[in-house]
Amino acid sequence: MADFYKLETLALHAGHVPDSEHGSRAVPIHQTTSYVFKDARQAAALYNMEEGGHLYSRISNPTVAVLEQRLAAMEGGAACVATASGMAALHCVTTMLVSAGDHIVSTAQLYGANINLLKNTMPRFGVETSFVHGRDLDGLKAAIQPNTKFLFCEMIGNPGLDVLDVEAVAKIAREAGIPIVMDATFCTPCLFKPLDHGVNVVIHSVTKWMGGHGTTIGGAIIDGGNFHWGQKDADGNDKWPTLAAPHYALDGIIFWEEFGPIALSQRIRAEAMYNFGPSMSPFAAFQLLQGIETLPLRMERHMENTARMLDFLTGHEAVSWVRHPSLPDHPDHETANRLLPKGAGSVIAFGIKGGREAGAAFIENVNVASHLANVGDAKTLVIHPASTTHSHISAEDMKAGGLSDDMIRLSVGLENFEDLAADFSRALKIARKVAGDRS
Amino acid sequence: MKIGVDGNEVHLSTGGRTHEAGRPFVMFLHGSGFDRHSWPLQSRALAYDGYNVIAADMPGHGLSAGAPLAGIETQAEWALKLLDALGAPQAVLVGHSQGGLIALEMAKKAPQRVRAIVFIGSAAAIPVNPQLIEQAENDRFAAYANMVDWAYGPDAHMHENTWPGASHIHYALQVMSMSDPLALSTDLKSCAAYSGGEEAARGLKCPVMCILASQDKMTPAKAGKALAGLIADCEMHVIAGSGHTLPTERPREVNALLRAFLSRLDAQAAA
Repeated sequence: MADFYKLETLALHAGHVPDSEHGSRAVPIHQTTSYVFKDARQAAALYNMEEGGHLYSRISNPTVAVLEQRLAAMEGGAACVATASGMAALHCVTTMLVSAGDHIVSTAQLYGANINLLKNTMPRFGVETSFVHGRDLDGLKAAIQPNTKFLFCEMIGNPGLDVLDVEAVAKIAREAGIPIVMDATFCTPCLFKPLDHGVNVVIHSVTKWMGGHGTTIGGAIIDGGNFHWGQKDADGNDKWPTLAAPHYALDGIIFWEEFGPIALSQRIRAEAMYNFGPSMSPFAAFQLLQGIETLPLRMERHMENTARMLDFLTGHEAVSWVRHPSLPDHPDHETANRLLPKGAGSVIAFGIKGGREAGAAFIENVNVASHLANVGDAKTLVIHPASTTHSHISAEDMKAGGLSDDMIRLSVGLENFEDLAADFSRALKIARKVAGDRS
Repeated sequence: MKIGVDGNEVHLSTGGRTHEAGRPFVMFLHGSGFDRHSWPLQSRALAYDGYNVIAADMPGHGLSAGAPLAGIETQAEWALKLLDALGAPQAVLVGHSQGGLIALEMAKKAPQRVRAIVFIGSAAAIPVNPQLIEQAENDRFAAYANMVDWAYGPDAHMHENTWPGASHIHYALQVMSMSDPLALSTDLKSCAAYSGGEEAARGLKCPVMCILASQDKMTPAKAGKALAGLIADCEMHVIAGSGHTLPTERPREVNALLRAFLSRLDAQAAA
């Protein structure tokens, strides 16, 4: 039996072996823009992707590389490229796979900025996206066109908490010969490893649970290495010419020919990082590595507190509804039980009796929980998506994404649960009073 | 690039540069169940040093068509035909693991075509555990995992890499998964059955270099040293801490040795 290191060990060690000269046990912060070349030949070789190494920190950096290798190891990917944010990760993958005239199929249950990039930004560059509900498998299949270059999805939709039956969707994508790109931010590899279920490229906002401390913005692209980019279209042309046809630089390198399983990540580094420059800083990578070291432990506690919070909210007299995939009335309950046995994430959506005003009263009166625009922090967070994170999307898209006006998004943190429950009890009591005043 | 051999399409990397007349050829020969993606950190480097590089997928491996070839002798004949197809009168052969056996057999069949040999993590004989062969036939993905586990050293298992962001382990698993389902079992059976290595090694007249790894569990350094001992003109290097997959685990050390060896060959040719 093969004996590879397990997730908990990888979270602490992967990507870093102490150097022989100094022996630093912690990952050193290489706070440098650039690297002295040994000689002219080595300089040329680094630019030409003949050998590994670093030439300029917009392209790669030793501290960032440790984070990248750690994430590749934890997700089971062939390679990883870290980016300045999760949105930069989606932007880089999208622009490296599509060109004007191409098409994307996406599930509709997405984070607002993901929707905006695909729905409002990419069409200006000639790339259209068809949005289909993740449970509409026939609709997803029908939406795939000859010029569709990838299928995009989130494992747990933000903030509607729809869970994708990714194995069924992967079968559709596989039969159509297109890759699946999944945003798996809400799961982390502790709860779900998409590459084991037919996904080809995983992206993360590592700002969230991965970092966990709420100090650092970052993103990551994990290249599964499990897709054949050399396929031809019906006319016999390369379907993914950015990977299978000669590059504009590097002597016309063909990434698929030279790098095979890591063709996409190398194109991202050679074009997206070069030309867009959404690189992660070495200090950010260091901060994120500190967080990832404890990720497996934290995810266990996140899920424990989430289960207790669901018990607390369900049936509370001030709460009109509670949504989480682990609850039997959630439409994806069976899917979540099957695909997410370690937990369906630590975000809960719920409604407060009394609508928007009561919701605002709750949010303004919690003390332990923080009202802010983030999820996945070690601290408990609350927000009203309709007026904040999703305020830039239309009422129609809100509905398609499973959002309502009275919805509170709760990201359950790691506090002592009794303190959290006391905080929520007090704030809900005030919210109930507001609701009572209105009725 | 693609080229036909025995009616089948062969995929090969030239290291990103088109072959040019008059340049010396270097042919890389991959190991069991792997393909040309064993050599990304050597093929481009040597191509831009000025060599005509050939890093091919054997039939049924990677993107090359055809069934996997059974038998080291048959594989050597195929590699010589590939040299013919590419117009290469002679080449330096760089063989990793099973690729070393193929190089030995090529030199035995056509010594005039072999300018020199570099054996990397190889030996005169590569016995294979019958259970691994059986697993490769019946549960190939489990066999890939075992191969990758044994083929990589301790640093690679910890995902340390000179190539920023890449994972040796998961890269290798994907490379192996791309090949014909019978590629690994055919290769392992070919290694197990090959018994002509010692005789071929004793007959070598060309310059030879052996690069071995101290942590090699697949072809232990002891076996590589025994191979070196059979060869009249052989230099040997053992890279401390590396596992079997030296070309990607320790590309800097391997490339420095390759470059020094090739430079000496070129200097001798010029003298």
